[in-house]
Amino acid sequence: MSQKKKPILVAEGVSKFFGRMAAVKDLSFQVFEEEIYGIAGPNGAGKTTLFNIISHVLPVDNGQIMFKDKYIHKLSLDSIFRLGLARTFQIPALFKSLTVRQNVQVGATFGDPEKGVKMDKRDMENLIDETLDFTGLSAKRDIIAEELALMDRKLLMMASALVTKPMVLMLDEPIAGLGKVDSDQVMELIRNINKQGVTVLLIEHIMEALMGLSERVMIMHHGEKICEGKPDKVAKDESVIEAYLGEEYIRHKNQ
Amino acid sequence: MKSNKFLLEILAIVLVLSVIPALVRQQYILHVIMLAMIFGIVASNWNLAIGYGGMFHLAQVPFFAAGGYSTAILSVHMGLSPLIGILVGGVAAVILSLIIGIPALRVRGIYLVFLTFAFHFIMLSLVLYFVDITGGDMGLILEPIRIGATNIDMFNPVVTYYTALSLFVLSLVFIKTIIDSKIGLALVSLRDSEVYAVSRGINPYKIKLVTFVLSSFLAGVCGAFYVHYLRVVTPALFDWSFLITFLASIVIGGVGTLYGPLLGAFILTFLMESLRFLEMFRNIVFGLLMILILIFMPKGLIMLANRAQSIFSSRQNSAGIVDEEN
Repeated sequence: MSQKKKPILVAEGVSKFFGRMAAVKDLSFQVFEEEIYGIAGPNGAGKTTLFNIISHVLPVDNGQIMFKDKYIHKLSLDSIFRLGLARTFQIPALFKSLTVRQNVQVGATFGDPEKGVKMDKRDMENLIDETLDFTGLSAKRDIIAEELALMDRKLLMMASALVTKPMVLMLDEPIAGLGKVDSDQVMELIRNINKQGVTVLLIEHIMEALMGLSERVMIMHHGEKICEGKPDKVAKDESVIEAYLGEEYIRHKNQ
Repeated sequence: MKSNKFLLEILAIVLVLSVIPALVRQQYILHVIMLAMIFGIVASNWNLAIGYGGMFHLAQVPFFAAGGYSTAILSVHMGLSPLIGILVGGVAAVILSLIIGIPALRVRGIYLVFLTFAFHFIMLSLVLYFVDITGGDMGLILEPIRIGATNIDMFNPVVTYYTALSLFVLSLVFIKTIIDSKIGLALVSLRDSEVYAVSRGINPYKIKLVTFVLSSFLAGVCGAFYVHYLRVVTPALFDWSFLITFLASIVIGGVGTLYGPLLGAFILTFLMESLRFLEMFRNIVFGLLMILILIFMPKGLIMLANRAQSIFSSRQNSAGIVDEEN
């Protein structure tokens, strides 16, 4: 079904080296419009590095990245964001001395929500209020961000991205570290974001959440793609099980 | 409501500072207050970059000196009037800030410190080299300026005092406007987390350069004013004591606060003057004081004022709640 949609984000043979070690090695994949695309893999598989080179926190060493028919691998982090490709960080980042509302205001002010059209003040205020409502942060709008707990920090980081009306939202472990109630709420939020037409790229360690949310999943290991497809298919794949369980699994199998 | 509060604060400051010359007859005290105002302006503009933007640079003294030297050179060699000369000082500082900022702001942290510090010595060398223009070691002496055909010195103490006060108020409004603007929001965001700020669409180089240039203007104006006030310009304008006074004003008063550096400049200037009897031990006492403040009040002395205000307002609040319940 999703295969009929147009690709919105395409990586062609991208690599990233740290010294002689390849953190991401000749990786190609496509993400289609309005899908939730999950990325998983053992620790050190290169998932966050992949996010960093797509968003240009780190420059890509080889390969090309295309977003909406436009090559973006030479653009800077801030201009990629203004085009409509937003991301969050694994360790919640925030503007700690600003209020919750001001944190969202930063995205609205510099993220170009109307894509080139200048917003008037009233519209921007409404947009910020709507985003705070949508992410459930309205009651905490005047709290200094430094005082927020983990869950709210994660929500705030998503709110400051959503306020710019991104086309693609890349979430780096939005659920890790949360309790059951909070993670259910974040999963519900991710579904709602997707329902509004936003394509979601999702890195998540918690397999239950990843498999439940994603339409397609890519499994990475040592910087390479070892498997891609629908969650139920991927979960049964031999190479995936092997990558996760490693040597112990092989030893067990050989006995 | 917020801007009303600021307006009241400004009015209070203007009121207090403008009646002082009527109450205090000693010219020396007026001289010290005036210096405090001038140093406070330079410090609080530097604080825009250091405190709000988290970019530590050492170009503020070169800005101050550029203002002083440009106005003195044009005044001595071309007879430029001091009023225009003060503006020229600001413009000279802005030009210098572009020359330094365009290359230097591409780096951050310790590299920015070293790069801007290099410009300090480049400028000092240029001043010492072009003796014909700058007067070299000896500097330049500015003639007193009469108003029209009268015998009134344009830089008499009263006029000087109120000029400094006007600059002081102008600087406060200027800084408050920047802090409340998009630039202010971007600056604080970059200070709190640069990668995150950039990932939310902020162009860091642009914001830093704009701030760098904006914060140089009034430093140059103050340098020009200071030189006209002393009627002399010498390489002493590049002295360490300026760097330390401006920086200590920010640290003692409160980094990244609107009134902190101004308060710091007043405390410092008065302290320096009243500790004169200690002679060579003055700097030691001074250094100890800075260390104590950094340890016990890392957010600066302005925190005492804020705390007093919050205690006062929380009492008011609780009184209000009691009233309602009754």
